[in-house]
Amino acid sequence: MIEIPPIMAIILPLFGAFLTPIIATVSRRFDAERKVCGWFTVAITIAMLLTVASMGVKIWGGEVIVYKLGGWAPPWGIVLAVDGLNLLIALIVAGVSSLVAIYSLVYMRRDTRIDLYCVLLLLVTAGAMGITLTGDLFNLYVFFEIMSIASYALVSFRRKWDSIEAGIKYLIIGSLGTSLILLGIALLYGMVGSLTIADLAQKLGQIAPSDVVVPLALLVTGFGIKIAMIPLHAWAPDAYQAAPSSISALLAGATTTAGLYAMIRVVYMMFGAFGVGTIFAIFGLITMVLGALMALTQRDLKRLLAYSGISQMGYILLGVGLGTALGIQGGLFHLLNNAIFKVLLFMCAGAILYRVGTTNLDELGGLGKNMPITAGLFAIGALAISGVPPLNGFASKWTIYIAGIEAGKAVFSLIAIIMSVLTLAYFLKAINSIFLGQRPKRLQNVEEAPLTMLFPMMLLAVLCIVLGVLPSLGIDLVAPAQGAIMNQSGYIHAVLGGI
Amino acid sequence: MELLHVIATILLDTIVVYFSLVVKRQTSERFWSLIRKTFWPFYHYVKPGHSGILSTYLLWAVVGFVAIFLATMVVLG
Repeated sequence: MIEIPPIMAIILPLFGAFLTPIIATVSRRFDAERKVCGWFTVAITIAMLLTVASMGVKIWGGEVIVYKLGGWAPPWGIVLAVDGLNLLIALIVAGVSSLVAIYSLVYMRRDTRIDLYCVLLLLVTAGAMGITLTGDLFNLYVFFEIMSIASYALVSFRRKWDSIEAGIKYLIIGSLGTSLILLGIALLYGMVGSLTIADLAQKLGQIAPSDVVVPLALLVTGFGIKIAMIPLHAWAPDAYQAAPSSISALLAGATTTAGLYAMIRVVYMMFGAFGVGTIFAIFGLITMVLGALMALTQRDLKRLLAYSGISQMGYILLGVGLGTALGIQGGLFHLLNNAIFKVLLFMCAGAILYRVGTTNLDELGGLGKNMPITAGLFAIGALAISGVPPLNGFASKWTIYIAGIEAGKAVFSLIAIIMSVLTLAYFLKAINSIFLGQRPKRLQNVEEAPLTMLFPMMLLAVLCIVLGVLPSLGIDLVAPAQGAIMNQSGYIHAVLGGI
Repeated sequence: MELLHVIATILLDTIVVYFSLVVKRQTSERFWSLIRKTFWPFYHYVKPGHSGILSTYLLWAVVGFVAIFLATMVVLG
């Protein structure tokens, strides 16, 4: 039986993106372009989420779903292969995209060319989904480019000076990253003559590790740029600050997750290089510490969130880099949690920007009286990201701390704990600057964010609490992904079918 | 003769890069003049408006690659 959900999950947003301009042209005649395009995007992303979720039963049952494009068997044809790791990332990408699409219905109300926004949003989603589900390395690069190019355009969407500047910087740094990835892929193809990830993993096992140093370094740097790993992070604060907040949420929750997936898949499954995990752990620590220190000095909320996101990426790298089952589980759990609270916090920043017009901490204050729901949701997100119990960030960070101690790297755990305290410090500063203290006169009449914007934020806040109170639920969600990372031979066998 | 020319060019370039990046920081844009030429219609937007200059960002990316390469070499090599 042919499994169509993997290809459908990519086709839906991709064709949706191409259909949007036609739908916009028709609906413009009835003066309903904004509503129709917005709801069409929501429908597409929810359909994609349901399609991805439909694969859950089989994959959590231990199967790997393989879809051969055009019926061509690998390694000659392109395959889509979905195991536990793919499914977890696909669920995050589809979930975040759906919530961002709902949030954008109101958030983008004051912007023009909403049809272009929807096209680009769907293209980013299609690219991220493609990266997540493909079993072919060159295909992964193509989807990476689709996602990246649409992201550059979205960062510059509002066509202000700072957004154009940030967009161009992101374009140049991002292009450097994708060029490095392409170069790495070319070198690997030259070595083994294959582009199927499973086939590459099999054949690379027969090559001396010293021969793969250059392609591995090229690929890790390329993906490192996408996930904003320090010192490859420079583009991120500018882009996150200048982009519309819905897009900052999408970049933080979906594209970064897809980039990290590519890194894990390439390093752990293709190179089978658990030794390289130490590099991840060390770069993770550097990213965690410097990200937190830089966040501490920020005066703009979105910039603060960007550096905080970089710091959280450090936790994930540390967990995954430890290389133990518990470490990988903790890293993946934090990846899931990071997508939840980071998107929530960017949406809160968007709500403030939407009502007040600025995210400069020096110009805000006392908004807790005007925007009590947003204040509550922001507090939940801030406490969750700081690892305060009983929220989800505590559960995943705790798993990483324990994994560090068990792996004999207690110093790493200690540094991670100190950075959590620092995270709490800069988020308390943000809460105090925005929602507490003296309210400036010009903010007296600020209203609460619209319900359509609050709905996805509430959903994410509930997830923060549920996954914190019931951490076993989160662990159950990421356990198949951790199993997939550690079961390289199972993936190869399922894709190549004993070739 | 050709080899001498190549060596002289590399030496000269190294000196220019050193001067532009280390000695005279204000002229560091010259190092990335190729990028400026490629993106000239937009380049006036790429200024240290609210954060840092593009040259520094690219330099960090190169530093990152070298660090990752060396670390990978130590682990796998």
